[in-house]
Amino acid sequence: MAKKEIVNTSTNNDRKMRIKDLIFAGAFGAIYIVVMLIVVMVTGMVPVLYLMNPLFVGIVCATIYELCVLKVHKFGAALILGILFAVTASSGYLPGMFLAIGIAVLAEVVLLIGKYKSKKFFLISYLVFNLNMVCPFTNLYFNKSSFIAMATEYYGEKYANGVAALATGWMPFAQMGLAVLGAGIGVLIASKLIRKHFEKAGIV
Amino acid sequence: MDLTFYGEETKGLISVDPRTKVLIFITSSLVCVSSFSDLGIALYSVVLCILFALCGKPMTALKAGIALGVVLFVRAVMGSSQGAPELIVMILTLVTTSFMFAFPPIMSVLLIIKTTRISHFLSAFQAMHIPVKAIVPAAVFFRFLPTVTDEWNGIRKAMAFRGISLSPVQVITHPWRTIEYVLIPMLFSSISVMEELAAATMARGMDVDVRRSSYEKVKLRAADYLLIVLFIALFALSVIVGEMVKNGAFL
Amino acid sequence: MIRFDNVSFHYGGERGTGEGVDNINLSINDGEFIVLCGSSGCGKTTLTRLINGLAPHFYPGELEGEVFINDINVSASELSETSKVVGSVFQNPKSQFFNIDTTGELVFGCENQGMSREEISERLIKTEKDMKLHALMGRNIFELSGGEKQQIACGSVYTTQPDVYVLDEPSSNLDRKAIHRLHEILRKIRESGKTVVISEHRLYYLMDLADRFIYLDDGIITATYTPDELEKLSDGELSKLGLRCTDLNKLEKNPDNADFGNGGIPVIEAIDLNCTRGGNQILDIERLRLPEHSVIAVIGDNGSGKSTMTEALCGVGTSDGSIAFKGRYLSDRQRADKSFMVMQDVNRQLFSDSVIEEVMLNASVEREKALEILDKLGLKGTEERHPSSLSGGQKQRVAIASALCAGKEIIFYDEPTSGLDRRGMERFGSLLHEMRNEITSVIITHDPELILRCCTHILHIEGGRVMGFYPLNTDGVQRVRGYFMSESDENTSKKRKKYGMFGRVLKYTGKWKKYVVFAVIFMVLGAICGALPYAGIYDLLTAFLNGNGLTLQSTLPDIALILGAGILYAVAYTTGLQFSHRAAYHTLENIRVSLQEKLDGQPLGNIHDMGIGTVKKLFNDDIESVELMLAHVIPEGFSNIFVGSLILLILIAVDWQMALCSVVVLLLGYAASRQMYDVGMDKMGYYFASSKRLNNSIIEYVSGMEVVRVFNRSNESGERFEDSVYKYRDFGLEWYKVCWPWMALYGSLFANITLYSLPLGGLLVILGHLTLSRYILALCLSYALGPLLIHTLALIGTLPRVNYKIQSIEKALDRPALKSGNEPFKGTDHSITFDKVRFAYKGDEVIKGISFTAKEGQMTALVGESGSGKSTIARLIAHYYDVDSGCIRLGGQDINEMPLETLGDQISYVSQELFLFNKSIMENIRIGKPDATDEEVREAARRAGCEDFILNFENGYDTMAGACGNKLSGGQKQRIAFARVLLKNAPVIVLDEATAFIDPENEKKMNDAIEEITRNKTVLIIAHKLSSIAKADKIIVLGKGRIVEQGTHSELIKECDEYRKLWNATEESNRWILKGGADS
Repeated sequence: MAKKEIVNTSTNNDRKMRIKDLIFAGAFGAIYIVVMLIVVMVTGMVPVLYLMNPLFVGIVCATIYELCVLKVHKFGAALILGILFAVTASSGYLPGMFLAIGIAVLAEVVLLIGKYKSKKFFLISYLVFNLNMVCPFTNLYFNKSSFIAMATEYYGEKYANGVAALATGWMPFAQMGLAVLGAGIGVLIASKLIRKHFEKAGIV
Repeated sequence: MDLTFYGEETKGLISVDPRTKVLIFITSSLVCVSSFSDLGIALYSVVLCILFALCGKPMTALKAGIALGVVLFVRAVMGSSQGAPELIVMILTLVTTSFMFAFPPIMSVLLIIKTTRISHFLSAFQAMHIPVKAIVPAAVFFRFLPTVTDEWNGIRKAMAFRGISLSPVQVITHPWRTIEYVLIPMLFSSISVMEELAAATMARGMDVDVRRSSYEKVKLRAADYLLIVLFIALFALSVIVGEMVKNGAFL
Repeated sequence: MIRFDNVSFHYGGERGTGEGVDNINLSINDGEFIVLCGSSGCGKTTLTRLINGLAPHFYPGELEGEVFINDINVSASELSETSKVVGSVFQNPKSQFFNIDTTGELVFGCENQGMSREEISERLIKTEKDMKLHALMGRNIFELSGGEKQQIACGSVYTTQPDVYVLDEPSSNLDRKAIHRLHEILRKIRESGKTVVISEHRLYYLMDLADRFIYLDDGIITATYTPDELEKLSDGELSKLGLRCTDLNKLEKNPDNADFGNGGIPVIEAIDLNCTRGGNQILDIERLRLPEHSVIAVIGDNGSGKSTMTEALCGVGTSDGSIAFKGRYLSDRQRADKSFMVMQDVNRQLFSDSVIEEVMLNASVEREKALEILDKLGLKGTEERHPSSLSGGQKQRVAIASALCAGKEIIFYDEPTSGLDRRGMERFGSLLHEMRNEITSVIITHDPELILRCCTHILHIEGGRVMGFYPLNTDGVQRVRGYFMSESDENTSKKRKKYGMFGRVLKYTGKWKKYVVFAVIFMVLGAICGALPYAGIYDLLTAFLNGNGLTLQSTLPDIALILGAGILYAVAYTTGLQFSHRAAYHTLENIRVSLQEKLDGQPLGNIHDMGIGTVKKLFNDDIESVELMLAHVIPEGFSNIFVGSLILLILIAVDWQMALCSVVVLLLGYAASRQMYDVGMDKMGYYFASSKRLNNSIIEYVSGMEVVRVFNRSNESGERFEDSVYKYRDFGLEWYKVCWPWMALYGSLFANITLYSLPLGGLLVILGHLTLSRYILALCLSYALGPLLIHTLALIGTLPRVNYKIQSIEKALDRPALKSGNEPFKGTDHSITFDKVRFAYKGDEVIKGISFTAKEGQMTALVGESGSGKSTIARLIAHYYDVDSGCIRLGGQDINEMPLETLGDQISYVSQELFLFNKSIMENIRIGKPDATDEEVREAARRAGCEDFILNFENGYDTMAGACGNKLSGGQKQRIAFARVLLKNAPVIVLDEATAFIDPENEKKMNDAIEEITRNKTVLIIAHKLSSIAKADKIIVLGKGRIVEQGTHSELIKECDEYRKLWNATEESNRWILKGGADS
């Protein structure tokens, strides 16, 4: 007599990342980075817009982040995305890289607080995550002293101060603000798109 | 994206283990942070170019070397014209300084990209006992990049048929729609590939709990140890030289 | 052994569809080969997933019952355990590989199981040997074709040596060669005793491998068939079951599909369609015309350029050439507006969140009309659903619907039926058929069933060229069937190498590269010396400006410097030129030798077709142009650029502002020259194509003059000639016109740098920022700079031309080499056998499945009307061309196995034209057997009946052929050919219209000669004059490429109408007598 067994292997309660989830995270990472690079390259043609990167990237890439996090809904999705980002985008400057990783950890923590179920926390976590768009520029900000030293070597105080003027205090904060703003807009778009398409199609 | 680095290992005079290259990358990044003079960075960069040439890419090394030489030349000679407007001088200083700072890390990344096979790279990580959980996403990342660009090209063609254009005018006047039309097909298509890939991978036995072996042999050889010592020494040297310059020597 | 114990499974979990299988009770023994079949959605894939454990471990759902493989409970064990005994191959080659390189992928499964390196190495070697993967090892997976990827997938599973192989529709995306290879792989696996479970739509290639066919319907096993039972089912029964055909030979054309719209303006016409990628030419189509209201199938192996061509035609791929829609030439964007392509990956084309939104996107159509279209396509009721939630076939139809709503006129399909079952394919076929009046469809496909179901024409592409375009009438059906049944399985994808600007030429330079290097060094030296005098001048000027007196003494060193530099410049420059020219000419030699080797390997027919003009142009003119590049561009260009940059750097050191000004001007000039290069490349194709045509038409005009004048067609021929001359002029001018403005721009910029830097410098001097002497130095340097750069740019302008020429040289001889082997002649006798031979010439099929045997020692004659293929058969025997399918055997051995020389030893081929070399007649006859003695030559000539007229020449046998060639009549030339044949004494003789030149005087002599040479040999004779072949042992009557009848003369007179007609015509013409003149 055949046994009548109902094996329901829904993975909602499995907290550990399985191969499936690792693959999803890596693949979404690839998509995120490619789209981000396209946005940066297109806006980078106009120098002012280049500095406003965090805004544009936030708007466009929010959907990708949200989708990744929703599909994996386990610890580590945001972290993997963040590390991939740190290595590819901010690798020119080590402190910047570590900063980006730190931000990713923070974003992961936000997700954790929301126990991977609350929609609200999913959205907030991207607001944190997008701050890492500022990291590629950190080399400019933190190296101020080095810059000044090298400039003084050739031109004396006057020029060195001119250079210092370029890396003034308000820039990083302005960029962070833009990052949050962009993330906010992006997240609104993301939730609309996810509801309209992905939930309807049954992917998420 | 140049896909050649996915396939073959370049034929160089020496072959360097990927782990050594990662170490070189770390020291390169640190050099810019801690060394304050042209001389130090220049010294480091020259050695890096020579390494590049030895690893089988002499043309690239030559081009990089020439670029470096030109930038150094420009910096030395900037004082030649007395009455130059300040703005131009400042911009030139900024540009050349950024170049000097960026040169070592970018070169070491290029070293990794242009002379290492990806599979070799990942096996090196496995040999370093980095957990599978970190290696798999990295491997999938590299494997998926060409797929994404392929999808993107296909989507652009599909958009051409539907009359959806990507010109700047369109993008600015209908930003939301553009984002939707670009992201939606990309994500749907990629998700279907992802799922098939995950199914196939799991059906072939990959599991986070099961320990994997590696077919590729990754071994640190004499050349690697030599390079490790050399680059750490260089790093130290450039820092010292930088300090000396700051304190007034060489002027 | 695999056991299903009352298993039911339904997809569930968060977003299940509720489908699945019910009450499966199944036992599969070890070593069995099971095929799961049924219509789409019947549960075949689910069953495979149950075996390899993906259901329920990956696809969540409700499972009842258990699946056992030997003792392992698959439903309960982890996938990592199950994968040790089950290996899976999936449908889509593109998405199942994890690694990027092939070797890594092959060992992937073993690595996952943690095997030791030695073990893996052993297994890898075994896999490589068993699956013949040698050519694919260590490559980048992204470069491989679909079939090759699938091979690697099978190899990867093979390396883990599982007990059970599970394959889910593995042939979906494969072409015929790849399916053949897959079949071989499966056979190998079966022979090694493993169990195979394969779920498939395409059944025909599995008929000889399967033990059982299990048929599923709606999740339940309803029937089991043995291969014999399945084969006995008629097509109607198969259709009811929803299964595809079991035997390709039985495929019939759909009878509803009878009419072809062949008139009117062709809907697409493409001329000179070329596409280059990474330095390799992918498409090379001269002319293409697709008729309206038709359904065209594009067939060809993977990598032959089909996708590139369709993308170019519909406007999304970049290509050269002109493409017209309905008679009007349109740009890329306009074509994209009017056409549509349904891609293989339909996911990329769906943009909206509901079906109705999707089809109305950017289409100016009302909602009702859109709903109507959806209804017609069988999508009623899905309007509000999300497109991604539909099945594959439905998604495809949504894409088609959106094209219909947008009012497109032509739709391209890229492998639309790869995963469809029979009903899906039939529905698709009927859909295309119905839409024919509004929309022309072009389908890239590997599916013979689809082609025979709904297509009206076939376009065959191979290697980027059009192999044939024919309608699907009865002949066409046979031809396409021949294509799908032919049994070759060579790997198709080669590593496409990329070449830079110089790479192409330098690869021929070989060991002369160091000369090039020397040349560069000397020229650099020369260029430096060329710039030195300016330093001297600067010195003099400074001294002058500083108010020091200029005495001869003080100026002597400078003058010496100037003089010395001048002399040194001349010496260095000429030495450099010497080296570079030496290297260049040696390279030319290498190129010519390599081309000649390639020419050797080409089928004679191809060379014949290329035309003397093209070949001559190739070997003489085109190669000459390479000399320019090697001898001048490389060394001079390099040295000029090098020295130029040096000067620039010094300029920067002197005063960087002036330097900046010069640099800006230089950059502008460089940009202009780049632009010219890019734009020039575009028009190049036209220009060279027209130059080629001009060449050929000149030759045709001159050589055909005699005939043209006699028949008073001078106007026509002259017009054609004029036309090609005008076209050449037009294209050439167009090209130059495009380049002129840029040339003028950069010419002026480079020559006049001082125009810009002079005033700037003056300003700086006035402002006190610059000393006068430095200013002058800076000016001098700019003067030195200008000419160097102009010279360089003039040379660089020729680069694209040379590269293009080299590429076209390589391409011209890039056609497939003659298939020949290295076996000696091993035949048992000297009979000639044709076995189902098919051959197409320039796209038209000339030989349509001919089989016959010409027995040893007998005379076999071929007769038939003109154009029935007689001469072609003779040429095929001599291996003038390769056959498309079928086989030609000499004494039982395939002629493809022998090298051409060996075949030539066995066969003497005598055609109508006789080529005389520029030597004596004795030497000319001796060609038949180079080591023959003079006496043997004379004997042969005597027996052939040439002796009398040869002795009439002044020097007899030693007369130079050139001198007497024109004086020989056709019959005499023919007898010299016979003499050659006699000398050679080969066992097989093919006579192609050898008796064409018989005139009544020589008739007896010719007949005697033919008697002589054909004694005791296997003879194949083609003749129009039936009286000469009436006594042949066998006569074969050909008609339109097929054999009508064979037999002896008496048999044929009695039974064959065709032959009787021909014979009567001959008899009658024999009785014609001239009126008047002699008495009759």
